[in-house]
Amino acid sequence: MKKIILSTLILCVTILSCKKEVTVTQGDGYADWTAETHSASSPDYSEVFGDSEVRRIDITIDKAYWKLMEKHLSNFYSSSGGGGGDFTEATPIYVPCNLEYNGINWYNVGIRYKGNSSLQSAYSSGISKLPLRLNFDEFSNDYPELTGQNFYGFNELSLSSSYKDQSLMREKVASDLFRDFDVPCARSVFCRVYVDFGEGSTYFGLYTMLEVVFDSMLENEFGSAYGNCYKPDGDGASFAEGSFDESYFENKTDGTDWSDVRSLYDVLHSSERTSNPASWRTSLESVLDVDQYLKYMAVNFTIQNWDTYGRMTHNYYLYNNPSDSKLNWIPWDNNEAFDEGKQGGALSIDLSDASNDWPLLSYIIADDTYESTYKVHLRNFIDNHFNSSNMSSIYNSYYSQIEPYVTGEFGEQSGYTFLNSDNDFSSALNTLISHTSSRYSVVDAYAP
Amino acid sequence: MNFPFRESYCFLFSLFISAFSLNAQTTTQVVVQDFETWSQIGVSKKFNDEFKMQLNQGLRLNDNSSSVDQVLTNLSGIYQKTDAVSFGFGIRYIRNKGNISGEYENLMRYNFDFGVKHQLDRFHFKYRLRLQTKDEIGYSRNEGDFLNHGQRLKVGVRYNIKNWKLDPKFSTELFRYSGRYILSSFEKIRFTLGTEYKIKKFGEVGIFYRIERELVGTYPKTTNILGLNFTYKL
Repeated sequence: MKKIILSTLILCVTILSCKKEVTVTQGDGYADWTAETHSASSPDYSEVFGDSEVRRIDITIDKAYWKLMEKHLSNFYSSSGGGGGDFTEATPIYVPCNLEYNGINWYNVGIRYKGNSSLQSAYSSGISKLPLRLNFDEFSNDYPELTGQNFYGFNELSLSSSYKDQSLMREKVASDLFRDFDVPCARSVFCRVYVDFGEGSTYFGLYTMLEVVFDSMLENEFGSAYGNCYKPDGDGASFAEGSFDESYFENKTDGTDWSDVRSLYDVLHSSERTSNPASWRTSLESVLDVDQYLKYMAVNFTIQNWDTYGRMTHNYYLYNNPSDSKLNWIPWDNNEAFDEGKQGGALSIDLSDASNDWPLLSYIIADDTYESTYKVHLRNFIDNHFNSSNMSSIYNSYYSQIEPYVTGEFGEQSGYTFLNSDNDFSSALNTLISHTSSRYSVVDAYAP
Repeated sequence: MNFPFRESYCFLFSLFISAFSLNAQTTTQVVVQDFETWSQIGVSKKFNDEFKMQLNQGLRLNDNSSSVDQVLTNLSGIYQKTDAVSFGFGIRYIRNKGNISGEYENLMRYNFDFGVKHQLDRFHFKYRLRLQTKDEIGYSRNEGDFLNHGQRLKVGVRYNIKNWKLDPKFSTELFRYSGRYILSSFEKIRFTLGTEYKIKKFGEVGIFYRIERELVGTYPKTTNILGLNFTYKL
């Protein structure tokens, strides 16, 4: 009898102890959740990135989490001796926030600071308009009912602060120009950002909201997102001879395969480049979408987007398009375009000042065939896009659109702006317009 | 319309499958209860009346005790100057299956204990405060690996049954975690019922049943744990 009771007891306890799962429905218990707004299977570009109006998002962060974000930022820069570093990749600390857009709420959205110099310089100068990154699914492990939460189909969004851009439109215009000239680039839209971190809603300023390359852009541009997508950074990102190392090419998609960028490096430095240029071009075109890259060069060096390849070893992505197995060049972080630049300044339009430390420029431009195509693209670009008539219209249109949220009563506030006065904004517009005409003349002379 | 049987069957089957496919994207399975087993063997050495050390090798299985969750090696010591007060320390290497990635990670845990015990008739009460720090091996702070601190308070009681070697023990332990960039919170609580059998001059065999309940999240998990350990006395 005792054995039966004991056996029954053990059996009952075992059965009651067994693994149990519950089925949690997406958005369960969240009033504003709809399939269209919170779990769309494909991005709604017209809703999020349509140019018709400036967006507004209201972010609410619990005071304790806000303090955590501030503490992390402060400690990061004090521990690095103020030396900076890529904050986004090194120590991404997300905290949860509530995001409201058009009266609809998104719940426990992950928010963090992002960026390199645009973050560090603004922070150290006491300006709180800092670049941010949103991840709508970040806390789904803590809140399983939020699994797959997105913003009209976008899992992640980037908020650029227009650092060093008193026109507040360089990021957007550069992105538009690349896209208009068939260079894959993240879409962008102007966005007012309000943050309540326990002290009431504060206007953090006018941001440029961008899609994230490895989130939605690849699928939209290439029809796939499973090819290798690299975010090169550091010495190896120059492709200079002897510099190649996989560690400089963070593979955002796969993380284990670098054979394609290795092939690009090998072909680039092949002796065929001088001994048999035609064969070298064939080899290069088998690993890199060269025509697309030449278009990128045409736009990039016309608009003097200097904070990237040629001066800096970052701010671009490489995507291996599975449809043709070729790497595609994707520009990123264009807030310092349309400017003479620093670090030696923007390269000249004929790239005569591009040293062999930047072989993807110097070797390409040294090839007569590629130089001719580059010139054709330059001509096409200034004739159809980057001319005074077209650009003045674009600049003035955007200026009118964002002015109420930059200057005046509802404009950016002290401590949350890079403007010293309202005049800075109008002066920046004039600078951009005159920049177009001067660059047009330069390109016109080089590619008549 | 007159559908042949096979076409009708195929149509209905496709409808059935597609209905599940549509639903599959809008639901998530969340584990709210699991059965685990923890087994441990070790050796202990009493150096004198005041100081004892122990080395253990443990294995934890989860997912209805079918999958390796943790493999651990633990070195601990306890210093007991009086019958009432004790101080302890421990160093533990943990090979742990990550909750999110499912991949194994290597951790080190360091703990310091302060214990008090007293007796009331046949009841033996124990209180223990444990401060512990956990760190993932091979990752630096610059890579986002910050120390994870834990504070644990355990209250236990053993009842001494006359002429019976298997005295029952019951304890409860509250876990609080904190870290440099996480908000402190009470994460879980444990209730343990067990007993030990001393084998003269040889060692000790212990068995316990434990219920562990998470205190955070919208779907807190309850873990039922059956534990068995053997310690050989050197």
